[in-house]
Amino acid sequence: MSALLGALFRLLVFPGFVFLAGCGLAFQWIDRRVSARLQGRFGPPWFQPLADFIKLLAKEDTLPLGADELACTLLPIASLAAVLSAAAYVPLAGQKVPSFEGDLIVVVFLLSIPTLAFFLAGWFSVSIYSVVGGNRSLLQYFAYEVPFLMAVGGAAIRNGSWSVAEIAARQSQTAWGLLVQPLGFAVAVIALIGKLKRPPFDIPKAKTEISAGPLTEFSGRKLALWYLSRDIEAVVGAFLLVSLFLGGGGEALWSAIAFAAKVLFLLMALFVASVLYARLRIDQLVNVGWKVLAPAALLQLLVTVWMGGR
Amino acid sequence: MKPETIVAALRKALPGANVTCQSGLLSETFVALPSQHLHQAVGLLVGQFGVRHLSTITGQDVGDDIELLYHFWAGEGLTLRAALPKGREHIATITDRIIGASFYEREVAEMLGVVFEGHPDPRPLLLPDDWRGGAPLRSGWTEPKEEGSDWPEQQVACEVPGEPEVQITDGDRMIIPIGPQHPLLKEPLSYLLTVEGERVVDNLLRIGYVHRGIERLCQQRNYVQNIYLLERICGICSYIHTATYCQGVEALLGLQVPPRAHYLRSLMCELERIHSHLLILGVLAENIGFTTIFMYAWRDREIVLDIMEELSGGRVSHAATVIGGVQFDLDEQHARSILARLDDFEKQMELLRNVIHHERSFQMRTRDLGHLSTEQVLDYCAVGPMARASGVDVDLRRDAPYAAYRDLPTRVVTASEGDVWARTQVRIQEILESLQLCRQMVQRIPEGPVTVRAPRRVPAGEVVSRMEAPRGELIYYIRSDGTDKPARVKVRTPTITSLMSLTDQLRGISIADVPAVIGGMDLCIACADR
Repeated sequence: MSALLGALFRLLVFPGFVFLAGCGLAFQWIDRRVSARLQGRFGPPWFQPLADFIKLLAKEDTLPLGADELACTLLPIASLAAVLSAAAYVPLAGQKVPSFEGDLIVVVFLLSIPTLAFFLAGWFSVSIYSVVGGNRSLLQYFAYEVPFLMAVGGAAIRNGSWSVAEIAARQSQTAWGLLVQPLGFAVAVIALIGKLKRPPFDIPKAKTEISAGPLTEFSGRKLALWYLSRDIEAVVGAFLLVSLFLGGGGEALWSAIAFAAKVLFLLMALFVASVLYARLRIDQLVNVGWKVLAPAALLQLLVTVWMGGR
Repeated sequence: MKPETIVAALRKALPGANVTCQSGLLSETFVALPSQHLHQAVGLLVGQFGVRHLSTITGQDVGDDIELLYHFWAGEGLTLRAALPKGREHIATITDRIIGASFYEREVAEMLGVVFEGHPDPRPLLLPDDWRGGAPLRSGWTEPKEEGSDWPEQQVACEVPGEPEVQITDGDRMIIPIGPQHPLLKEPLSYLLTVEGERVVDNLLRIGYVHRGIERLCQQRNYVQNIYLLERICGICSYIHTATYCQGVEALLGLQVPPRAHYLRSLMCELERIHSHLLILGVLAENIGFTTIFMYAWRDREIVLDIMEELSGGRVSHAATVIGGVQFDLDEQHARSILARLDDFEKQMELLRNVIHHERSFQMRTRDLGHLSTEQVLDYCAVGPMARASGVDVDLRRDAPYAAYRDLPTRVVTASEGDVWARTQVRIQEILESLQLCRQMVQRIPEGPVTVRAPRRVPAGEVVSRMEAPRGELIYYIRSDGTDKPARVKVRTPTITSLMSLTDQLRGISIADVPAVIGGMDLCIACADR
């Protein structure tokens, strides 16, 4: 009985849904605050993301005539469920997680579900902007996913394990991935920006071009879930990269604080990138993905294999 | 090009036709000729003299006739006048000679019921597609009543003639509607993009969503009231409208405006140019997803808006120009404070310029985009930074100096690339030039009164008043019949010239580039619709 309660607590509260949702909202606040300060603005108070979330929950939920009601309801839920499940295998600050050899592949797969859901949302919500946005998100997926996989795989090869928790633990015995595989780390961060559809890679939802892209016709609770899943995906993505390249939480007493500091360091790169550049065009992004990121990741992979072989 | 030479050549080419020449106020020459010879005369102007810039076409109802005035710019103003007797309002289109006449002819057609024979696209321009209310600028026109015979029943059925049937998908092609409401647009305008994948293959433009009938309203108000009405044409360049209008009315009255007032007017115009250029720079940056530049540009713009507010009391609507001068003054201390803040502004502006100049992602999104060649600019009669970025060296501040520009030489900034990037560079450079002009004006402003008394009644006459607005040549035609209300006020804003070239600029580009092109054009729809 107590085992069941413990499992439920882990799933729903810590490090499950409530904790991750809190992290997601906190992430959104820091994001808005930091980019505001970088742009000479002030940004919102700390409770703004929560207030926005509650407001959206209370708002009328409508869909245009002809949209697939069932699909449009299930897609945000599926997206949220996927990122929450992915979080279950990523160790937080050295916490024990149910890990197995190969869970890294599962995590990467689960983290790509939101993009597929995004594409399908564009398809099912019958708006012309949504269709264009959906197509773009799929194109974007092919641009960043391969470099992301290669960079992540590089970390796995170097540490000799395909389990996230194991990779994090082994780094604390040797050295951080960031130091040994700087190129792989950079590729992973840039690809993560593409994965999260954050500026300057916010191409599938570029508002001046195609309104809100696939989310154009969503409102109320469904939109709230989309936003929540977007924020949690960002947090989980950051957790994952910290585990793979920054040595995870470690075993020390201060591991929680160290972990939080590492996550913030990583997110800072995302914030700065979002204010520093103009949005790319989809063809420019595909070029960057295949002509810059993929070769860089491949080079890192070769170097890793060569060094490992010695 | 001297107008006398042109008139002599016209007389020679049209033997038997009654060509009369009359020089008007503000060095405008009016040449009257029979309407059936107009097309030939325009051909002569374009072919023999290279006079290709048609500023606009004014149509007016003068009792028995509908009069058409073709305002050309040939180094100085040249207006061809043709009268069409009522009942036979037909004239040959000149769009085969000057493509840029297209929108002007469409407007005259709907406003005065003139038929332009052979016009390639005779859709309405500003009035609704289902308009059945007649020609609103004819004298004696009355507003159609909500109920009754004036509005036929089609209005209820909402049968829209002229509008093509909008199909969302057609094989590989999709039609993406941008506007009348869209996050990209700050003002309502509508275009339907036909796309294949991400590529725009065709587009259809529709304006008129904010048409307020200001030209008609002007005829119902007196000269003083019109200042405040015309100021509301635009929410960005409101001051230049009042200045251009007052310049015209003052010419009709024969008033000598005090030099100090000239300086204050020009100072406001230059400040307005700075804030307008910064505004569009911000909008362009936001359109290409570069929010930081948007925030910086609009933050720096506040300095200029503050100065304008201190001078006139308003940030956007100033109500500061009167016929005969201005309604504000500048004292010693204020002048020093303005100069100090302009120095701050220059530092900020240099920073912004460097950021834009060195930021590669900005260039990636603006270079080789929305390209207009010099020839296209001349064809469409485009003006202002749009023309200057394509290597057309025009600027009324230098070509026909008015107000304080008579004393202060203006350096005209041009570029040759003709793309969005070149337009951005021209505007940024113009901001810095305007800054220098502002400094000189504040330093060299002459002493004296800022206004002279103006009579309420304006003697009969007509005038064409031109000024260089932030977006290019702004032209007013004002005709007085000797009462306290104008008989006709015609406004042609620079944006309408840019709109004509939009279709060319959008063809063949990616959907993602549409916002950049629109941002680079610096459209002011309220100005275009009036």
